[in-house]
Amino acid sequence: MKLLVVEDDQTTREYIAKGFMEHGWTVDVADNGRDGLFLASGENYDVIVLDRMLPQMEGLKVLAALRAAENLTPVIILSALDGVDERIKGLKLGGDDYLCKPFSFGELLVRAEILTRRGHAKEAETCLIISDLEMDLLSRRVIKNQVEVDLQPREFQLLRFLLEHKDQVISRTMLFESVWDYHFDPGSNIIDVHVAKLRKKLDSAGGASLIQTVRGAGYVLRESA
Amino acid sequence: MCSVSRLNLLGRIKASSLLRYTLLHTAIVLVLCGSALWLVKDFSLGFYEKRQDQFVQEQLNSLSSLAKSSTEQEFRLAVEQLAEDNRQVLVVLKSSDGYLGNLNYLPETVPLSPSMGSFWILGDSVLEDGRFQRVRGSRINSRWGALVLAYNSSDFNLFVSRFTLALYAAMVLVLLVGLITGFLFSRKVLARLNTINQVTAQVGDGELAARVPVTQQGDEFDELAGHINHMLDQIEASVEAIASVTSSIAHDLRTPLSRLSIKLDGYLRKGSADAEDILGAQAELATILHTFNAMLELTKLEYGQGDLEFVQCDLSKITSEVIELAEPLAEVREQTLSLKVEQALVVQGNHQLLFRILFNLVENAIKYSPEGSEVKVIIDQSSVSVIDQGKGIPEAEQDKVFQRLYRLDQSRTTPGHGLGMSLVKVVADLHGAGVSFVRNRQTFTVKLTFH
Repeated sequence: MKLLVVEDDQTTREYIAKGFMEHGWTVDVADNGRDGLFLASGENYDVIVLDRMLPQMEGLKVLAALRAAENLTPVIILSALDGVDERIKGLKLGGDDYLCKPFSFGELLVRAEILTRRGHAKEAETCLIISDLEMDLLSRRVIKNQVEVDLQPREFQLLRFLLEHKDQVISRTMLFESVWDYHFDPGSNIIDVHVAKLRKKLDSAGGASLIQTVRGAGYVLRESA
Repeated sequence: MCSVSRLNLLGRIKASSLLRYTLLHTAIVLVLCGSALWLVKDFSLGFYEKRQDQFVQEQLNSLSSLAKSSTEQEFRLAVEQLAEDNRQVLVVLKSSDGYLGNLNYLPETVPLSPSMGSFWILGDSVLEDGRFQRVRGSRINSRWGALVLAYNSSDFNLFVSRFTLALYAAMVLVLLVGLITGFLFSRKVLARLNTINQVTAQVGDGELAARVPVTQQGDEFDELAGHINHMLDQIEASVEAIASVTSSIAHDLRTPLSRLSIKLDGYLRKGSADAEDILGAQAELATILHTFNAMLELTKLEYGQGDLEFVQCDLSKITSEVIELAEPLAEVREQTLSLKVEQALVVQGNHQLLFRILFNLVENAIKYSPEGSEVKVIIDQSSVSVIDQGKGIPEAEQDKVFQRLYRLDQSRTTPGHGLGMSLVKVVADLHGAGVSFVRNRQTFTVKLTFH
């Protein structure tokens, strides 16, 4: 996997580059918009992480130029600018994801991985399985420890998202964005309450508990070691 | 003193465009007036003089041709006849036996015909008047002697000089009236401009409360004053808002920041920090950032920065999503959460923001309604009501809940950043909706009314 990081703040840039390299990615960096656009147009990247406020050429302009040149490399926009309209502005210009600063590295990694997977032809999976948990997407049935678990539609979506990203730490914001499709920080423990409810339903069927809380980061669905 | 004040005046004229325009205008009027009067003078008086000259030339021409064809006797008769007939005409012939005509000498300086010249004579000798008279005439040298024919131009000259005097007087008058009215007008205009200048200078010095006085006249200056005052009102309000946001950010962030500082200090003294400690510090930071972002966003929404997308929003659909999201919270508190749609309500709005404020209201209702109670949302043709069985907001504090970071005393112990209701108010305002509170014996209602 090959990544381009366009970010003018040195600490952030190195933090991102180092993190991705540790996960086996090849990383190129640029500290201004013009160099970023030059690299992005010349090389073939799997994902581009693009800061919004950049010297020489603003991030959104870089993005617009890329898309105008029919370069469809997935772009994650990084920004200190939060707000409904800012986000929409970024996505309208052809951004694939929008992440607000400060962010955790784990979240950025997960988002990048999701984007690379989106790029490849996905096998039409109809059944998601981990350990003793099985989700049938066609009949919308969930079996845990050979017992059928009755889930509400939203709980089903929540579990499906966790299953599709098993072994990845998913932040609360990501869950809220992907499962509910709302883009704001709900501020309360509302996501925790929903996850707790889902976990309780699954656990009542018996077997090992699969949804684990990662403190300070979010949730992960994995087989306990 | 005098030179100083003159310098002052010069300086003022240079500095004030109004005074300059007045002077320029006066000068233009003066030039126009002057040229008009000169033209009048030239056309009327000049024409009169030309006619007189012409008369003299014609007489001289006929006399000179007469001299060629007649005897001396006949010529002298003709000259005498001419002197008799025209009392205003002066004629003298220097013949062989003395001077003939109404002058007893031949003026020497008179130019030969057809040139004309003016000269003085002592009127006593010919005309009734004893004064020196100015006459204008011409001379011929005929066979029978030199002859001078002239006409009296004294009255005409007097008239001309009177006319010229009147002309100068009129111009001086124009100049004076122009200068005085110009000065008075510009003083009046300048006085009002100066007021505006003083006020804007005051504002420039940081006195934002200064306002330009508006008179009853409703003229351009009042319009300008009105615009300036409106602008100042806006600026003052923005500055106040910024000041209040800044101070509340400082105030509200200081507490968690110092808590974080204390924690870090503790780790330092302990000599090490384990994962638990760092997570605690991170959570603290997350709270700070959350508050910070919420405040920034509120300000942005309030001052209309950014362009929000407004679309048709079905409030019953949004509310049912809100209820679905909030349901587990109510379950934890063993409350029943219900939605009743009496009539569909569709408004022009921003889906995300409407969802957020409805979630805020429902979340608050759940938080402040006692365990095991009932929280209801009712939608009718113009409003969304969130009804809980909590204590509600005391009437005295109902206005204050919209202020940033305001938290009721009773809610200080419950988690929250005190911005929820501010957001509700700001978003409601953006949608032209009103927020009202109704308190009954058993229930408390927050009502969002769309117009």
